[in-house]
Amino acid sequence: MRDCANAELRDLLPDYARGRLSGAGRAAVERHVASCADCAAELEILRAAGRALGVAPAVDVARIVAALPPAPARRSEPGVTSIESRRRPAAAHVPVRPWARRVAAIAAVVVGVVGITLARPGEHELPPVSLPTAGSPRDGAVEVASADRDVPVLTMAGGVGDLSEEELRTLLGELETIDDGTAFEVGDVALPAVSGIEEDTT
Amino acid sequence: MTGEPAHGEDAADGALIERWRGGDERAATALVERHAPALARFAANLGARDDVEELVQDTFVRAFSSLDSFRGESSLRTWLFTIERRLLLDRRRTERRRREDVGVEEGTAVTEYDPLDGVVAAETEARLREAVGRLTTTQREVFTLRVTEGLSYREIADVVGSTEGAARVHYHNAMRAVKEYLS
Repeated sequence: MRDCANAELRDLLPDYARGRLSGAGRAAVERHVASCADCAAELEILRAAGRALGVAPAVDVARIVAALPPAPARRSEPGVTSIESRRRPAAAHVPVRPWARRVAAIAAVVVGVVGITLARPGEHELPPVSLPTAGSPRDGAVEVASADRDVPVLTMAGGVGDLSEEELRTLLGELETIDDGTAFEVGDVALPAVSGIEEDTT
Repeated sequence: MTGEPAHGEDAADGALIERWRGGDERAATALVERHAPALARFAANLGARDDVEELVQDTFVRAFSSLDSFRGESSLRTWLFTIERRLLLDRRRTERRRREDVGVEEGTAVTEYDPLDGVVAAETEARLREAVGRLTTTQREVFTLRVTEGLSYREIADVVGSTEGAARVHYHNAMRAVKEYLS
């Protein structure tokens, strides 16, 4: 069996075999196949392939539909199961340790302070960051330790410590809402005491 | 039984998606009924066996989870094939790793794939299944999508992540290999 040199018509054979050609295309293929033994043989193969490979295993449509998430417009209705709860269990959710939220809050504040400082026009140097010494931290100072031994511990004076209790709670609350959909693991990060935040033992 | 492709039916799919977005759960049933047979067939032709239904279900779950953001840049069926193919590839990788972990010697795709389950009506069809089973994975995907599902080369390229030209070459190479096996 050889390949016909008429590539354009050969490309139409699968569509013709499936009955999806009409008009001029169909007529052109029929004329060509009538005089081309190679394409006639290829057409037979395509028809046989359609029979051999065209059988679909039975599937339970009702079971599939039952596993689908609810329509977007119905997700807020009472009693409608959320998408997440209908899904099969995916990767194991890594619980966020209580102090990890605190680290995230502190990191957010540090990033914010650094960002604001960098954004000041005319200032291109890094914000003042004092490398730690063995001495005790100042009142109200916040230390952020890194798990990476090569990254120094940063000390920031007048950051979180300047926030009121209520402001801290608001900040943590907002971070928790962001955090709800994200599972992350904080490894063996050294966590120093942070003034102004109550210890969460839950 | 063949489940007509999405070419002339994109509008119908689009209307069903809109109904589903509006809260009509029956539209979801209609969409599953329209496309599940083709997905099951595609999975079976690519070598899925006992897990065809699970694969089809996972494809729909994944698709419906992001269907409210589906913009219709490709046909729904092409999009579903793309999702199913990725799921199937992921499973194969997982299975391959599992086999390696337990020290089972892995065969080639050719020897692993045995589409001759069940009764085969005609010898030609049986040999054709054998021939398709001997194709490379990509050739088999392209051949199946072109011959059985009626996708265009452009649509096939979307599904398998290649170019239209590459899809055409894969198809013709597959057809040549099938002919050689049958002759």
